[in-house]
Amino acid sequence: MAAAGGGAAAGRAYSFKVVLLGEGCVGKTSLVLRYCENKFNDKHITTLQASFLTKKLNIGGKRVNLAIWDTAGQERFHALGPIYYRDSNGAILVYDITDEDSFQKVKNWVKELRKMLGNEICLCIVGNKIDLEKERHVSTQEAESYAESVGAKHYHTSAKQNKGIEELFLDLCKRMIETAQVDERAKGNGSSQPGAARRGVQIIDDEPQAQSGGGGCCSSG
Amino acid sequence: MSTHEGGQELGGDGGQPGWVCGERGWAWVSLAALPSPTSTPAGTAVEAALCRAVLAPLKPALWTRLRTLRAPELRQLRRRQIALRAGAGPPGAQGAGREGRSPAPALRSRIHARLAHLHAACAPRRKVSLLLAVCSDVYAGLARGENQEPLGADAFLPALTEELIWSPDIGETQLDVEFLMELLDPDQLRGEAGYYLTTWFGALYHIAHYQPDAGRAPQGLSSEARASLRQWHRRRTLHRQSHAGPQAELPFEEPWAAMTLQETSDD
Repeated sequence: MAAAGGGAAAGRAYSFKVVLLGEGCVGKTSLVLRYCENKFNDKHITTLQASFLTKKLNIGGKRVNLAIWDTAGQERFHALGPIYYRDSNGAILVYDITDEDSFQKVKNWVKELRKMLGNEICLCIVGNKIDLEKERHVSTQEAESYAESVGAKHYHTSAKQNKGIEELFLDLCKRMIETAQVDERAKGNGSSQPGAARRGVQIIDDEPQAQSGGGGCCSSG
Repeated sequence: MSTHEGGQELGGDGGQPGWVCGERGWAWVSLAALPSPTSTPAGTAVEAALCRAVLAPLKPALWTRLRTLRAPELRQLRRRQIALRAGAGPPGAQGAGREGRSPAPALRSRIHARLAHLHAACAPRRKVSLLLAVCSDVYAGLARGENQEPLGADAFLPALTEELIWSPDIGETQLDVEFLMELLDPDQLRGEAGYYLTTWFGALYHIAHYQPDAGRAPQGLSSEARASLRQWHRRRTLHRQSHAGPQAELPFEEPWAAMTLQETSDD
């Protein structure tokens, strides 16, 4: 009954928390709205909100519940970061490819996340607004090699044109599943206090009645 | 199989619910071990009965104690709130505010009424649904006019902060938020209610640590705040992962709206 080992088994669902970080105006909210298609979604407190969004996925038979926590990008709220990223399985760090400063901000977040959470958290660095390629101020090569150097993956997206977003989230989910499986195995081997217990990876039993048809793998968006 | 994970079972060892004095004040323990009220009518009934029989009679004494324990922090919060008001323009002024646009005066009065109800309410569920109702109001205030696109944290956090700057009794709101952070089920803390509770906590922290002289926000969480968060986290995750079955089902769909209808008697 309790979550342990073999998370990939049928009937289980992973529950992941992903935090969204980046300067104001880089398009964090548009990105995640594109992905979750919050419009007319009355599951949340109000359809006017896109600060907390959820998505259910089925990746190769593994069911995933994704909770996406948006953060305010204004500098004056920077100190609040830890209360949001605490407990996260993944972080999406967004910059605007036309704004060098926003990339610098991402680097600061990476430093802080690695310092506070170590390597347990899956990092995605996302260059958004590739529809504005002509005004690019952050070189692709620089961004990609930076991401590699800090153990993150780099993606290019356009929320406006709905490009690259599906891939970003799918990839992140796969990496979080892998991390969770490693944790489960460690736990199975009897190592005490695995990272998962603290970071709150939850593998929960699914009710059999839960429909299997709808919302297949990344079908929407 | 789950015993090694330390899950408390109702009626089992340590299953006696009660108030305990923790490092940061009093906390109600083992409510989280109840069958999830969101999934079973029986669970909801048990929780409601507990609130009426245990929580309600204790509330005045508990709150007096909490106010005493947190007096210095609450005083600082109120001082900073007043400092921020000075820079925020008159309440209800259109477009005014250090932290963002202010909503229409009618909306602001509604928010103040809800904050008062939030404090008067006894049942945690009722408190949570009122807190989320205030969030909806804040979004409604932001969505006035042309922009009907859903809004993210860049817009919401400043707007909520602005509302709390004008809250008539910010100290009580702070205690309400801390109270709920101690009490909510870990599943709820990772869901929508947890997100907004975190955001309230953040907005209040931002206000409490505003530096009027420097005219700027805190540059990092203070070491006390970090330590306190760590303690809180440890306390609240001790018994996690022991839940299984129906409780864990659909963790993101919390029927707060339904609860608002059910629990109208306690405020």
